[in-house]
Amino acid sequence: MPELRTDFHRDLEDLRSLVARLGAFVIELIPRVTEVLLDQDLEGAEYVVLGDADVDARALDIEDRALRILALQSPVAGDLREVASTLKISADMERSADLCCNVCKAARRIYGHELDPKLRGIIQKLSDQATKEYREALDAYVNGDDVKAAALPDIDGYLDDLHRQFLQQIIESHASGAIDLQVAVQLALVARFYERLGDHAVNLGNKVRYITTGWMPEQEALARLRQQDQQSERESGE
Amino acid sequence: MSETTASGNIDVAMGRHIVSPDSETKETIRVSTTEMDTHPVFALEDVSVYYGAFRAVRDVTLPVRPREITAFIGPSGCGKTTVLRCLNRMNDFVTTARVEGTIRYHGVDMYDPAVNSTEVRRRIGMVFQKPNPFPKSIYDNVAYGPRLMGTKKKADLDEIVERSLRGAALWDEVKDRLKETGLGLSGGQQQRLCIARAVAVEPDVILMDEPCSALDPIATARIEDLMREIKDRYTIVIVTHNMQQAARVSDRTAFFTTEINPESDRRTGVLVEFNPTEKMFSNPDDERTEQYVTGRFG
Amino acid sequence: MALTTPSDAGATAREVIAASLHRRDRDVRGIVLATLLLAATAATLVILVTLLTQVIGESAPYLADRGTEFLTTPIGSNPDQIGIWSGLYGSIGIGVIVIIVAIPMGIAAAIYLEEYADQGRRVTQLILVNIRNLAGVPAVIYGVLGFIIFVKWLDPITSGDTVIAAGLTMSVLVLPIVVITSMEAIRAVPQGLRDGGYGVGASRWEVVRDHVLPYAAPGILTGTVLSLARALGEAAPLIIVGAITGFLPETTLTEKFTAVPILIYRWSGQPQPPGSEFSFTAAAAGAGVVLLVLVLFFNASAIYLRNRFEKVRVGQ
Repeated sequence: MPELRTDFHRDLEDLRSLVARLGAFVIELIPRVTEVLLDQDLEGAEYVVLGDADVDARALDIEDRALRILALQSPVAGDLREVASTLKISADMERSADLCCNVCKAARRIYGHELDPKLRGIIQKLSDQATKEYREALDAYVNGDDVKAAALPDIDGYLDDLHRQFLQQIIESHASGAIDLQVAVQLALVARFYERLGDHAVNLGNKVRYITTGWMPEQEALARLRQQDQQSERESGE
Repeated sequence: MSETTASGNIDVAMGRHIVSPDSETKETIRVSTTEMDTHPVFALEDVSVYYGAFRAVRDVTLPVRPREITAFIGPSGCGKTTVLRCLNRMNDFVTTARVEGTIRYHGVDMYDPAVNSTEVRRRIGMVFQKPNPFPKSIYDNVAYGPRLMGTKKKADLDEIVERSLRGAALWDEVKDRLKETGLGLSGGQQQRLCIARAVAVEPDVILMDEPCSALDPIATARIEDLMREIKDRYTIVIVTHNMQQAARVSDRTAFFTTEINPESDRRTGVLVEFNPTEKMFSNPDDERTEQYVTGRFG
Repeated sequence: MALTTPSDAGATAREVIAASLHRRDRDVRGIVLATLLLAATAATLVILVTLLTQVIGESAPYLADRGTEFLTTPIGSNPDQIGIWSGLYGSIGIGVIVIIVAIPMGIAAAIYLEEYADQGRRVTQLILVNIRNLAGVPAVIYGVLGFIIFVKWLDPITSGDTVIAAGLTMSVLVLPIVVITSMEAIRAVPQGLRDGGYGVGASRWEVVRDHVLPYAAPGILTGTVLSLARALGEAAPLIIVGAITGFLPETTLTEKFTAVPILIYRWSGQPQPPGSEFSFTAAAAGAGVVLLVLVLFFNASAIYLRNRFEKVRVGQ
């Protein structure tokens, strides 16, 4: 039998590819802003910050289209999970782009201050790891690969380690006088930004698992909560 | 820019009587497509329809734009089918029916006594709720209209039948059994046969009165896909009691509702809102529309 | 507590349901009704069979003896030598006139009343009521009507009491039946069929010609057959119009005439002349058989045509 509702399916594919493009944009943005930070590139920072408006517009477009599909096509099952998830995913991606902007703003604030090689090294590693996670997550999204998505929380563990390392290094560098307090604070914030990017990647992975299988991490907690409720009911009944 | 089309395609002249009282004249008059696309196909102004003394629907004012799918939705008894049937003067056959207000088709007042209603129905075809193929062969079903219009040569008819059946996404399923009776097809196929039959006379407009309500969901989906495919050749107006169908298929939607007439205690239909479909289903202007599409009242 | 009661209740309920399903009530009234209906059917059949066997039994030896001569010989005074030719001529003539005059007129009137007339207007309702009443008027009255109009007033056209006058009289008699049965047949055509025709731009006449009439054809044909059978079988009106019951020298359209039912009527009462082998009663029975065969023939052809039209209608 020929395919039915081709217009609807085409709309879904368009939505998917817009999300993928937005994600790809973020993946390219992360190393770029790291460059800006390490090279103290004020012009680059300006460019990125101005470009955030475009990201916001694209996220809004995705949201619009998703709402349109919900209103007009009444998607169900996998289609519904996908469209509903798209709303959250695009919001997260927009937030990720905002975080990258924040890195650039931090770069401006520490302009003129030298960063010692150890710090630079960890910053680069943070950036690479965050990029890698985001790329893995986007791959999983594009291919509907929930196995790859399931691996992300563990992969993210490394980023958390790097985060701790970085904070430690910041404290040491400040103690030794290589950087002053303002720089240290900014760098701590930057560390947080990269770590948040990793979290977004994990979120994306979770959404991929939800789209493909209907599984959500919150469901385990919910199941446990329900179990507890039933148990306490039984206990009070007898 | 005149539209070059297959022989017999009917374009319409603006501003002068396009329907001749003499039904023998089956002329084609050409006009530019850009002109056609900006002027509405139908312009209804303050239309009310009465059955005897009972006013079934009132104050309908809306345009129907060319090459679009316009949907009429609303609860039962709101007059949407009544209005639809006025668009091709099918209500003429109900002796007590009376239309007030103006209905213009490409600028011509359709209810002017000089207008030939058979000519109207040649240009404005109709597909009905219950599939109603003629008790003839599939071929003869589709060829009936063209034969009436004077096409006699077998080669011409063969071409028209194939083109129409392809246009209704039915050709592949029936091309080996054109001589079999149309009544032997499934419900969805019969309805597509009725669409092919309507398309065969190359109308300007196709009116559809709840075309999918007697069909299963798969057959419904195929006909909805078909409607969107043929929309660039015909203007389509569809009445449906299935809101989701209107949402899936139409470009513009008109919402009718019923009001109780305090004197007679009977309900009269009234047009509430007419807007692009996306607006109707995401952010309608009228509270009553919101109530209806969200299912808060039927 | 929650562990014990539910399943028990389920078992009891199930038992009750099973018991009630297996209970066989004697539906006395239903059985009595069915029996009565069967008895009525049987009675009808018995009557018909008795009639047929009586007539056939009475006529068999006679027809066996006379053979086809019975059909070609004119009437006379000796049963051994008479035939129904004169009557056959008249009856066939009447039949043909009815087919030519009443059938098309009746069908046309039915088409007009069902498809074209405004059913809401009082005039139309008046016409319908009148036609229905006319169908119930006794045949004898039509005979009087035919005598006055066709025999006397239209003498120049019909030449008095002739087959033509008789045919016209019978046409008028069956006309209401044709109209009513045709109207019923046309009314039974589903509106969807007409809508389909209008939906592709057919005019009212094209819809009637191409869709309504073919679909209604079986019903119209039935009405036609009924009317013909009636026209061929009536005797009383023909007597009034002037059918000859006695000797008839020749059979033409413009001279005196007779018909098979008249012959049956005449011969049924006549005493058997001395010296003849068969009685007039046998001849009457023989004529009756011929009439039955004639009507059967019309019925059969109508049924055949019906079936052909119906096959197309349901799509074979």
